Amino acid sequence: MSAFGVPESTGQEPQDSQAVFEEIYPALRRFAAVVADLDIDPDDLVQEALASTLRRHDLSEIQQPLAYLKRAVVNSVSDHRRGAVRRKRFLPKLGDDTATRDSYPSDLAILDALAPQDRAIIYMADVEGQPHAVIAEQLGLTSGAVRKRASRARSQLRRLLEPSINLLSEGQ
Amino acid sequence: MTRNELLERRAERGTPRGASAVWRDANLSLDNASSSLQFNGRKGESHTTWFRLAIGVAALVSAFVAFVPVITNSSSSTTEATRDALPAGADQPEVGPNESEPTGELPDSAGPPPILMDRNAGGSESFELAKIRTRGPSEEGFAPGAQLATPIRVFAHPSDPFDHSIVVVGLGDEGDQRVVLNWDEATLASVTEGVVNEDGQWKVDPSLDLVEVANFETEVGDPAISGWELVYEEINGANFERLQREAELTIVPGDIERLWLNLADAARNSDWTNDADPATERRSAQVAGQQVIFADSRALWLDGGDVFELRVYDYDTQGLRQSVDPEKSLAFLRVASQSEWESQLDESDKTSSLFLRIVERLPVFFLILGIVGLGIYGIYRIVRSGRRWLMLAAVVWIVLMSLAWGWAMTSSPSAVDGIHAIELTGSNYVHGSKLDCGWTISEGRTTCRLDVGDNWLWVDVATEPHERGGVDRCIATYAGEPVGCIDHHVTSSYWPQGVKIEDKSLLAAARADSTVLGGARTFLLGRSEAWIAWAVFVVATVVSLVSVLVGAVMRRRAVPGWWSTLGYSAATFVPLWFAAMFILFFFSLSLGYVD
Repeated sequence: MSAFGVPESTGQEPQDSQAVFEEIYPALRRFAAVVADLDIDPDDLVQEALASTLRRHDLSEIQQPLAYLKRAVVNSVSDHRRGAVRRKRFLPKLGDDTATRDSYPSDLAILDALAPQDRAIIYMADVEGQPHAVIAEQLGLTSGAVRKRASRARSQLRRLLEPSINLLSEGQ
Repeated sequence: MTRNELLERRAERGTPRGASAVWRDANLSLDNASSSLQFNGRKGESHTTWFRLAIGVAALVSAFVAFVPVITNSSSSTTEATRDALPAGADQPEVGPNESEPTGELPDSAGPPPILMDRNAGGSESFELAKIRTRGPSEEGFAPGAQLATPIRVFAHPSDPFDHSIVVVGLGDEGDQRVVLNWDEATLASVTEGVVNEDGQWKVDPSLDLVEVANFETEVGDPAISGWELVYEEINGANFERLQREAELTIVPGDIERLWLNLADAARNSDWTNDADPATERRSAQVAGQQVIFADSRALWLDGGDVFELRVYDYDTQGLRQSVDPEKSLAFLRVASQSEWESQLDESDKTSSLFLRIVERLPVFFLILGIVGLGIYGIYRIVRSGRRWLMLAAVVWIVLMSLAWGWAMTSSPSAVDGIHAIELTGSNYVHGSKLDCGWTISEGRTTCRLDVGDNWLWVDVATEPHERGGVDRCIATYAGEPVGCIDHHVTSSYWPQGVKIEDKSLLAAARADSTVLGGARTFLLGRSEAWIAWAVFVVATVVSLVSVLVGAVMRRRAVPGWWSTLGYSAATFVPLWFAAMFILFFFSLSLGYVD
């Protein structure tokens, strides 16, 4: 049995997978919106994670489907990031890509400075209020690693947010 | 804005499509997920470990096949390989051409390279140096109407003359020269520029990697001296015993694996004495310490414990005919020393670095990798889809293909008489639709390449060495009528055989045909072999198409949209089809179907 309770085989009557998904969708979608880079639609990411999960398991067979899908979302975003890095490496050779850049970047883009896993950690810790041990289990990390990465991500985020805070205080 | 506010705002970004829509799209994309591109154009999940591993193994295997022979050849010197091939205890002659001490005098040939000829004991080998079609007096470089004694010099590549063009250069009496025979257009051009007369001496540009192997004189347009073939054949059994009695020999044939021969000058000015009746008075000559005895109008070469019969064939308009002069064979033969052979190979090796040889093999590497990769990718798609029907279709596909291959391999004809033509574009060779060329073969396979030009039908032949079932007899017909035949053994190399079309009307018709089909590449296969190749092609294509259609029909139940399902199925089976076709192509190559 995996960390998320995927059984080797099920003798029980399977529950309705769609019902399970509809139940966890809102939380999963919010999580995906934070973890995904801004250029990725959260629903696309959820859909991709769901499809890759359904390819292996029936959702009703998984004891902690939300946790399972969250990890799938994080892995998927990491894959996208790796692909994006590769593309960026070759794009300059093909031509200027300024046309695809956002002229007025949203302040939500500040979070993109963090790694997807770090975004997931501080979201689960600060917004969902989950303990480090649970986060560690769900993301496949040790508690110590989660604590360190959360601390480092918060410091980084603080530095990134400082200019906008100063700007607000000067305006007042 | 606090950290939590930022996270909350980020979590609420965008407009949710809703759980039902995402569920439906995920299930749709699940069906399409076995394609590397999902329906929304986003890349699907990355390749699995086993796929990467399989590609890695394929790359290693391809590299092994492509590069190891090159590296091995360079690391273990050719000379060692040659030396290893010598029979244990066999003393190789360490003598050069000048040590030949015939009754008369062997022509001196300073510098010609030894030529390695592989043979199996008890078999026979033949070697054609060149078939020279001397041009008429109106040809450029020769005085009109003159019948000149024309020096002919023959050049070959020292490393392996059997695999390269032989260049025959006719030298005019006033320092002019022209290449009179070569079947490689590029070489023809380079040699024409590279053979120059300096102070009365004919020299070849060293960059051409050519050495002179023979020279002799011929009359322009004289067909009798237009070519030759040297055959040496081990004498065994009752035939040997008879010849042993006649030649008063006391030696017993033994086995040797390789024979070093060298073509010396083919001078015809030997002054050996001919003491009339060879049956009563044995004439003999010494060639590199080995005795050659003329007996009963035959030349016997006694090499250690082996006895070889030497025959020389003249080539003229009537075809290839055995020379009536047995002594002529001696002029072609010289046993070269092993050290001489090795030094020639070393010299030729210097012209090609290991790096260049590896670069030359890169296309082979990528070709093999591409074929294997296509197959792996097709299997990968099927496995990743996880669809039972697709796996079932793939299994059926593989079983049917295997049966087709098995049938093709086991049904290879042991005897083929006559041929069938498959024409593809892309070469300079021509083929007359009514022109039929073939060879009766016992076990081997052969290809013919036809080119109609002047008043000759040139037939290039490639076949297995005779001891493995090579060519026995040629058949060349036009519109059912025989147009010529050369009855002799052919080596495994390409050598053009001239077949004269006597009937002018047939010739004209053949030319007309060749014009119509000019530029076509002709693959001439045995009829049954052609059927096998086509059958495999048809089976692979039909099974692939059926698989695509069945797959699309079955998917239709789960996924709406014919085009997407058709495309999906095709994307799965087309790589397999291409892989099969590549294998078919190489299968044909390996059997010598394709020139």
